[in-house]
Amino acid sequence: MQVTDEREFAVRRWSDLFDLDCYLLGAVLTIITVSLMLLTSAADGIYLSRQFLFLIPSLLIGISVLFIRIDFWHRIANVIYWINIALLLFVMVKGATAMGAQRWIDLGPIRLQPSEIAKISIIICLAAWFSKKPIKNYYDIFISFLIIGPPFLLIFKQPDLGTSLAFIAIYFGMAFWAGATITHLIVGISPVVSLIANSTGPVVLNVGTIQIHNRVVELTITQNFVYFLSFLLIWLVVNYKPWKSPWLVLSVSSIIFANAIIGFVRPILWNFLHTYQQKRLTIFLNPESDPQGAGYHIIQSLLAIGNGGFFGYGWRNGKLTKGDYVPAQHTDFIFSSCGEELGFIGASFIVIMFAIVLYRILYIARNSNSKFASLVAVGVFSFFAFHIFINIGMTLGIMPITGVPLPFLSYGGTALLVDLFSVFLLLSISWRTLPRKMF
Amino acid sequence: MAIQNKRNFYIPAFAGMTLILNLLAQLISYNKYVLIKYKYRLYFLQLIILFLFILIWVQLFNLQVIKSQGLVSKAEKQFYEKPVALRGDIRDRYGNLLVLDVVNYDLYLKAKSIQEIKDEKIKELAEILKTDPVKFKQKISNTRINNRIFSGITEIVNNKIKKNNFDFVYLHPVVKRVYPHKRMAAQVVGFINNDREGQHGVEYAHEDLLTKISERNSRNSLYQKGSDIVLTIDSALQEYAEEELAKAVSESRASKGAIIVISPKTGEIYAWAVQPNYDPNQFFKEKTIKNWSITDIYEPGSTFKILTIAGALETMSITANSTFYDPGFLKVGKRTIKNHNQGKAQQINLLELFKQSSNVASAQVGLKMGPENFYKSIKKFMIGKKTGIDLPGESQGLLLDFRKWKEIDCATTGFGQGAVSVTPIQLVSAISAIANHGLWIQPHILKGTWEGEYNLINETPMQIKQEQAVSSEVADYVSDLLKQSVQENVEAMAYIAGNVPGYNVAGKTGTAQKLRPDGRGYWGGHTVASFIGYLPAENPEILTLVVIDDPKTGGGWGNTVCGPVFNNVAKVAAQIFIEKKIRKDENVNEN
Repeated sequence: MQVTDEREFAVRRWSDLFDLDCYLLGAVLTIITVSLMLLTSAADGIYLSRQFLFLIPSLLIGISVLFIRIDFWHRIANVIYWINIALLLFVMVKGATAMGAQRWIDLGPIRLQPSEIAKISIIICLAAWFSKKPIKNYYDIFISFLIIGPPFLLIFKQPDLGTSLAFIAIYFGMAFWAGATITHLIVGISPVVSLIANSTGPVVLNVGTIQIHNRVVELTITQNFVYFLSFLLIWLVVNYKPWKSPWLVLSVSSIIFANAIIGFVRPILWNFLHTYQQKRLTIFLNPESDPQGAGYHIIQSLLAIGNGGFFGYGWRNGKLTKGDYVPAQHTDFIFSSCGEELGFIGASFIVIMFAIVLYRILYIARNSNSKFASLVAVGVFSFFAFHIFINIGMTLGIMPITGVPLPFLSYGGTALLVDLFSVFLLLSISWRTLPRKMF
Repeated sequence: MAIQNKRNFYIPAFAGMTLILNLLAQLISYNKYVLIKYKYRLYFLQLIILFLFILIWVQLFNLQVIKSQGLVSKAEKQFYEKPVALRGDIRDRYGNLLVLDVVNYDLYLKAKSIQEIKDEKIKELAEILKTDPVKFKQKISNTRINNRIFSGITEIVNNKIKKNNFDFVYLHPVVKRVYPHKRMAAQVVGFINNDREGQHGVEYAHEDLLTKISERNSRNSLYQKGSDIVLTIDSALQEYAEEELAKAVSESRASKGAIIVISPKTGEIYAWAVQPNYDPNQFFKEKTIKNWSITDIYEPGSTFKILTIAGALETMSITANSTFYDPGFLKVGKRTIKNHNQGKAQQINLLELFKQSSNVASAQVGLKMGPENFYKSIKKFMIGKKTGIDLPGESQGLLLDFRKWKEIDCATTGFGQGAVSVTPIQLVSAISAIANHGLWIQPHILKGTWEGEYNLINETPMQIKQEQAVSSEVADYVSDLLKQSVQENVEAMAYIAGNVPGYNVAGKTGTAQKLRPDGRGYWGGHTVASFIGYLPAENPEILTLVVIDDPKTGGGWGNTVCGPVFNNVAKVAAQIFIEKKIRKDENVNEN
């Protein structure tokens, strides 16, 4: 980061509200308006009023966030971390269960989802950490990774695969901004990709079988895994230039070796995931293999989007949406019903709005005058980017299904609260640090 | 289809994309040996998302513009030609329906505006649907294209609509799982979620059978139905048991209760009533959907003495003629074991042990056996193991490893408190082994599948485990003791329980102290009352367990709280399973 001094932020008053970043706020409010439109149509509109119930308090909370100084969050980062852990532990012990997962805290009429709150709190905590200790080597990565460890495991246990992956995305985005090199990140991500790559595609080689707990596990190498390993090898050789030193030869070969080992023992690690999670992660490559089961969501989503055509069926007229074919049409697959009812034009409009949001957040990250604020912006950027690309990619059949909601568009009270909170935090940063008016 | 070949396209695309990104990254940001300008990293992030946005946009264009026609026709095909997937029905042991799938149709509007539709057609359709034509027309004019006009159309009406070929509407089947008996047997049957997956009970345990479409059923192109399954439940007895249990639980202001009726000879469960229960039609409104009688454990109390004595006889720790000195209390270490009634000091034999339900004598038996023998003998009755009943969520109970038993554990486990906790179904299966001459049989709820064409039950049940738990001599001797003790107690008016006219009942009451909710010691005044018994004692056909958790009336005794319930349920069960059978045999003989 270029600016390293923690200067005093500008003091802002009510009369300055017109100086807010209108691009970011405008895009977000537009998306929320479209979301309310879609929720009137999806699932016969039963979720609209409940979304309103969350929207208004969320906006009020957001506006009050504007008047809190940024260093306040920096100072209470520690407290936020432990409250976050306590909430996650509470939900593990006494949480309400729905659809086979224990994710919610019942508060009478509303239900709170601590795993959503965990995302923004971990962004604040990591920002506080990295602003003090930027990443210089593998050791720094290891230590900072320990921070997200406990909440990550607690959420993975719920089970909530999507949110736990979002944690990883947030971590990598912020670590990159805090000084980690691309090679650091590739080395960190590659074992996960090895894990998934070796679970899909045709088997090239059967290494043998081992027996663990009365269960025979086949160790195999698949075609995708070979692709990935060779890709990794090329990357590392190009970057490290191992012919320059014997030490580099050693490190490149050890990274390749570690990946190969993880790929081989994939069946063992893979078994930690639930069967439905495994299926969802790989089904997008070939949804027709199980059209009534795991592939159902993806096929219906593709049909709905394709059915929309260029102009769409029109608002509240979607054939597959109204016929209840599109599953989870108010939450995870709301983009499918958007694609069907609003067509290519509407869907592109939403995509452009998301692009404006993401670019604007990066703008704030670049121009803010403190490390902490800048890191928070990058954290929120990776949080939104992960959700947007995974979710839209999932509805378009180019990403695995992980049950990640689309920010501002999907129904979900806590998610909306957290998304708006993050946006208003960024608005507050830009409001206090960027000198010139937006219009 | 293009979707099928997607993998072949995406792998090189992914590899190529990452390679390009790599090169770009090299150009703009990454060089380990040169001073890093951090700001460029944000440009790198910008590039990545630009790339991803373009990818999304291209795919959107691909689906909505290029491939749109193909996908529309595919959707049409799915809309009008896709077979309806049904789950199999669930039936009771005589083939009566307990659960079924009902297909209704919803009517959707196909025409863009009301001007396109002729008035006569609307009138005709309204007549078929038996609604007011004027209101129906108004409804259509208020409805947008592709929205629902009418729902809950039956099959007959659907056929009429199809015959008449109304081109401005289309029909769409809606399958609904119906549980006509509502709360009856809900804990056994279970329910399904919104994705039509079994979530509880038989619906979950036999999901495969219920959803697997057999070859014969798949020939029907319109509907594809899984196998119908037949349970061992007798619905008449089940209904009666549920009524009795609900009455007993509400009268004694208890928190929960269960009645299990089982055939000790075959392990078939005839009835299984659980309180609290739920309505599977509206499971989402219910607070508790847990079947506590297989998931929760309790200390069995005096009913466990049956297993103690059987184990002791089997391991030769005592003999049939052993007697015990019972002064009403027994000091073991620092603690004192007391009987529930403070009697005179006396010498008692095994019959008196059961008759008076002497804790002191049972503790002495436990102490004589020693931890290892005791542990091994009760483990043979599958205490501390899952019984393998085909319902989800079974707990394996609690049986402390004998190496951790202290002397006091040996004594208290003798009368069913201390090192052992069981689920009701575990206790039922263990006592069944005594009733069935020492042979333990896995309890089960699936009888077979239903052959709809012939109205026959195809008995292809699961693999049923069997194991000799004790020798038949020991089991029969204990049975005899239980029979005599119940008989003499009933004659002396000391027992309410076990008074089933015309039958000799072998059984045992149980009044176990409840543990405090926080686990620290026993909870004064709170008990788990139970009675387990089987009849006819000489050749048992029916075994019944009644458990009521934390009753507030009748002193909380197993005898007073559960006794009357047992008598009523056992009487009805005997009428159904014994007397009916005898009458049938007589008819056969006469013919």
